[in-house]
Amino acid sequence: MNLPKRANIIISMTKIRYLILLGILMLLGACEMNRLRSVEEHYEKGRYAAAIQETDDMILKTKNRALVTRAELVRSNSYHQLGLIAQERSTDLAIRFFKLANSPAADKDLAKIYKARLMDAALTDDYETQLEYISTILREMPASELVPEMMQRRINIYLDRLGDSEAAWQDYMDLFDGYEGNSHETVARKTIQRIVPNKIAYGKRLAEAKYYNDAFTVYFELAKYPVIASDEINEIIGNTYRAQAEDLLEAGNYSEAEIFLRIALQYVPHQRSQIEARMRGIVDIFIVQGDNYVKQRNYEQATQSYQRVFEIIPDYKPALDAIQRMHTAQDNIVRAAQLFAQAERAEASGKVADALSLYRQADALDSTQETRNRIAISQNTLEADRNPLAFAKKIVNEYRGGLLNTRINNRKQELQTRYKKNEIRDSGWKFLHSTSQYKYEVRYDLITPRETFLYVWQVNLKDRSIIPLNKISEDLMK
Amino acid sequence: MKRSLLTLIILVAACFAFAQRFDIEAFSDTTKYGWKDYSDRSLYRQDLLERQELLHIYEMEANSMWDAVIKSAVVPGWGQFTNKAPTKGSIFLASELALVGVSLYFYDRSLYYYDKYMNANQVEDIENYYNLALAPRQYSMLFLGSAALVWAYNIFDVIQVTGEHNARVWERLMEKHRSSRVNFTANGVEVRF
Repeated sequence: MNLPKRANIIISMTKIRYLILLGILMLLGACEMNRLRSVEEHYEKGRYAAAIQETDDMILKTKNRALVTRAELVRSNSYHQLGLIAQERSTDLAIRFFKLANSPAADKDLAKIYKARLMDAALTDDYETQLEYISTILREMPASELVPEMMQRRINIYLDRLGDSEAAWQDYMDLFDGYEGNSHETVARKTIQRIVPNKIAYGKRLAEAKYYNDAFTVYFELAKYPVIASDEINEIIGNTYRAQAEDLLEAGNYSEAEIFLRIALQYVPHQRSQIEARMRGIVDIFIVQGDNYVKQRNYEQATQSYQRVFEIIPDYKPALDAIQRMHTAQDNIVRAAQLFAQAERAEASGKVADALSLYRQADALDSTQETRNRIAISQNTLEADRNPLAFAKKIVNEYRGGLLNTRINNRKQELQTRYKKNEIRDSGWKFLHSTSQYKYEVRYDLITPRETFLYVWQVNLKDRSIIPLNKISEDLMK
Repeated sequence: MKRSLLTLIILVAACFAFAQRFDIEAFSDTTKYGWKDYSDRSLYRQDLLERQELLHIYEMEANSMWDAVIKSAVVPGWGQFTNKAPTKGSIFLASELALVGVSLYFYDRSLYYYDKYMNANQVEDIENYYNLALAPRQYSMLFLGSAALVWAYNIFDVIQVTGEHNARVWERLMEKHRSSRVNFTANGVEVRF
């Protein structure tokens, strides 16, 4: 009884083990990973359509997107393989499969089909179809090895068929930027050189119209690519910078002009002597400007002008000399002011001769109207002290080139036409000492039987001024 | 036999009835994945290539299904612990230990009475000890069976948990990839603005 029981237990345990194993196998069968394995197996065995359909189904049902990504890669390869198979029978179908494959490898094969069709179009001289396929390859397969060739072909079509030099240039720039040194780039370079003279001419027209920035854009674009000799384009750029500098000079923008001249020098080093001469011309303008400020006693501005010279040409000797002159002038002004003050003190203490000497020294150092006035007054004072009457006569006689004498004589002659000579009484010049020192009253009377002309002025010996004291005297002076 | 044959016939008939004719035009329709033009294709390709690059990292970070199954087969709940599901792992481990422990307890009781039954000389004792040994043995088998079921479910669960864990690993990688502005790709450094 014991043995059968134990045997039953053992049998039961064995059944349980089998059941467990079966359960595990069923569970593993339902695993997402197995779906991917199935897709991969289809692909490996060449059942590409099945692989694709199973992938499409798997994408909808699988949670783990990593497995989906792997399945999508398998699907892409499956479409590629289908495309290769279809290529032998229908290129249209192959194109569709390659597009569905959507991979760099499929793109290569797709590009080959496009190229074959393009070559067919070339045989019939159908440039529009060629352009269509070229553009498709360039647009849809930018990483294709055919890109340089397609760009070169498109450049030819743009230039020879469509006459669109700007589009051709744009393509060439892209070609050079992406495939410098490629055989197709080298060929395209020679082709594109045909449009370079036109581009240069266009740039020159822009520069002549003062659109310098636009002109430089054209020139720099050309300079960036090996379609023109560097010496030639540098010469053009340098000359354009010089032209712009001249415009700025005309507008009085010296600093900017100097900058442009310096830039020009980098492009046309063989024009160094002319450019440097022009730059010296600019700094000379700054020196003149500074000198004018010195004359206006605006030393701060003057210093700034001189300093701008050094920004252009360091230690430029004429500017150093100008600064030295400015400092001397400033010292002279200070010294002149001191002398002027001394002269005023001497004048106040009655030492007119000393004052005159000091005023003259001050005037020699810094000539001002005030100093000159003081000199004149001092001189007059000295002369008036020496012989006041004679000096008063001199003043009257010399007044505006002898105006008073002339006009009195004229009046006298006019009276003589109307009166007899003995009817006219002429008093001659009469000098009377006035109330104030250095002032004289001067009279001249012309008396006729019916008319009387009594002229009277006051002469100030110090400043040589003559003041009319009645109406007819005033009228005589007008 | 007849029933099996009938089932087979029904299956074959169903296959023919639901089989669809292969439509090459639909199959090769370039817009069937929502790609209207080359720009859509380009966007998809870019996305796929980025995901392909992430697959390498995924392969390193994802847990192996077989490893998890073996771990949970050896120690129920171990695979769940490995796949960041400690609660489940604890429940499975505890349940398994409890069920096996109780099963062993009843098995021990059964052996105890079985020994007494073997050593008994009296007919009454023999029958009495036999009956006393039978009930614990049945209980022991019952708990052992339950333990086996829990163990089997543990295996089923670890497969699910591993799949979910790996799916989360991928989502996390994708999230990290999308949020990072600087990526080191096979073609060099890629900066997103």
